[in-house]
Amino acid sequence: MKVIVERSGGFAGIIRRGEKELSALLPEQQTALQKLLDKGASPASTQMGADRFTYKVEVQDVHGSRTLTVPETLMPANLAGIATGL
Amino acid sequence: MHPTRFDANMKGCPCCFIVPPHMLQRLAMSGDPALAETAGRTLRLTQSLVAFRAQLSTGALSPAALKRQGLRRQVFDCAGTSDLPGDLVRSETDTNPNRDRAVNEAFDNAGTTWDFYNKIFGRGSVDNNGKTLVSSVHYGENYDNAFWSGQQMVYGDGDGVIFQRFTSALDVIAHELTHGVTQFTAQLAYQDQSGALNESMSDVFGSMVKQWALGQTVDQADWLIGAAIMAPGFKGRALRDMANPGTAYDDPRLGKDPQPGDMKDYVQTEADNGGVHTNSGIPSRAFVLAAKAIGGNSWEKAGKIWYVTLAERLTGTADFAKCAAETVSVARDLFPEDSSIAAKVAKAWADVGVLEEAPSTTLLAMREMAAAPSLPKTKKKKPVPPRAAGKAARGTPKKKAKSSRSKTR
Repeated sequence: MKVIVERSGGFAGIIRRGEKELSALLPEQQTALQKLLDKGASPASTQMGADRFTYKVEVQDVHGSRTLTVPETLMPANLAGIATGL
Repeated sequence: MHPTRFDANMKGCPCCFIVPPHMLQRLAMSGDPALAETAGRTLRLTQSLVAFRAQLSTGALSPAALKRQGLRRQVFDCAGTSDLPGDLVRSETDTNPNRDRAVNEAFDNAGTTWDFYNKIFGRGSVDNNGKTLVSSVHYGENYDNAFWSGQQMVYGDGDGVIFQRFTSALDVIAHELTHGVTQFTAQLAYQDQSGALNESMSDVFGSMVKQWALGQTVDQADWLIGAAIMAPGFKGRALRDMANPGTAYDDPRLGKDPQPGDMKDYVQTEADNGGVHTNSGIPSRAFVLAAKAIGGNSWEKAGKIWYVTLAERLTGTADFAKCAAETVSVARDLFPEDSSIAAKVAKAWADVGVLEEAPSTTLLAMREMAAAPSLPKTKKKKPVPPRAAGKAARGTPKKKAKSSRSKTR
């Protein structure tokens, strides 16, 4: 059971991807992830401007697999870092 | 040599230069992109000041002309936060450089980009209505990005491992500012082919501004994007190579440059808004091929064709074929006396697989046009669809999705 975070876009356009066991998440990360799942997907195309990051968050747990696309502006910082191994 | 040091030392001794022009010229052609860029900018400033002093001595210009009429810049400091715009740290009325290098780079490079659009295309800022160029530096912590927010430019400092501060490269700043130009002109939707065109336009004009600042011809240009922001140890030349898409880097941490340079290699993906930074390699290479075939300085002919296409011909949903068609049409309109230019533009799009391989009918028609007696010029009302592009667009991408082709870390 884990969360996979993929970051794409940005000026570089380079994809970064990382994952973490759900049990290894800090309490504040678990809270942020639950809020994201409760809120549901936000279309990245609603993001203004250009060269912003877009995140794909995939949660694999007892309920199965769920994937959300989250624009940078709505991505919790404590989850964004998972994409780059933080 | 820091660009602002030059300004500081110009005070009180406007004709003495720390580094002589011939040495700057050598540095501008050196293999070090960062050094070459700074030297080239300083050289251009040196040359313009010498010319300007000559004009002053003959009374041709008044000191008031020193000001760049209509240029307004503001630089804010986010101080490591994500709160925009941050604290105002430099504006147009501040004649002295700031102590912060990133602030001055954002300020100076925005000025150079404004100069380029103003002098070459007669454009007054991103909106052509004098909009203040707002930049924020030190955004976020080790933030690996620069972006156009829809209102302003935003720059991170980089992580120091893969990226250095994003303000250090003129092509990066011109890239972001061009997103503003696109927003106020064609409004290319940031998704799939129109999004890739949006990105390509920013790379095309980003590289063009750098070439203009360095005084480089199309054969001297490196056509690289982001060379100056890569940290030591990065395995590659830059983030993108417009002349040879897909060859800019091959780094164990980032993977290999995924850009295609031909329509047959178009990447279908959901990531990055449909691969806008990936598939931009195709139209960017078309520009390089056209500019090299035409020769000389990119901004004089090819650049004008692309600018008019962006500013007057494209709309939000334009795809590669539409862009190809319009650039050929604009080339005819701008250079009616030289039909070879439109033919070279058409061939460039054919060489990247967007138009049919053999634009023979176009060439034939153009030869006929060239041989025909000149017609009196009429005021252009509506663009004429080009013969080749209108019927010969090949817009079907073939390559399958590779959304996770880069290595994870």
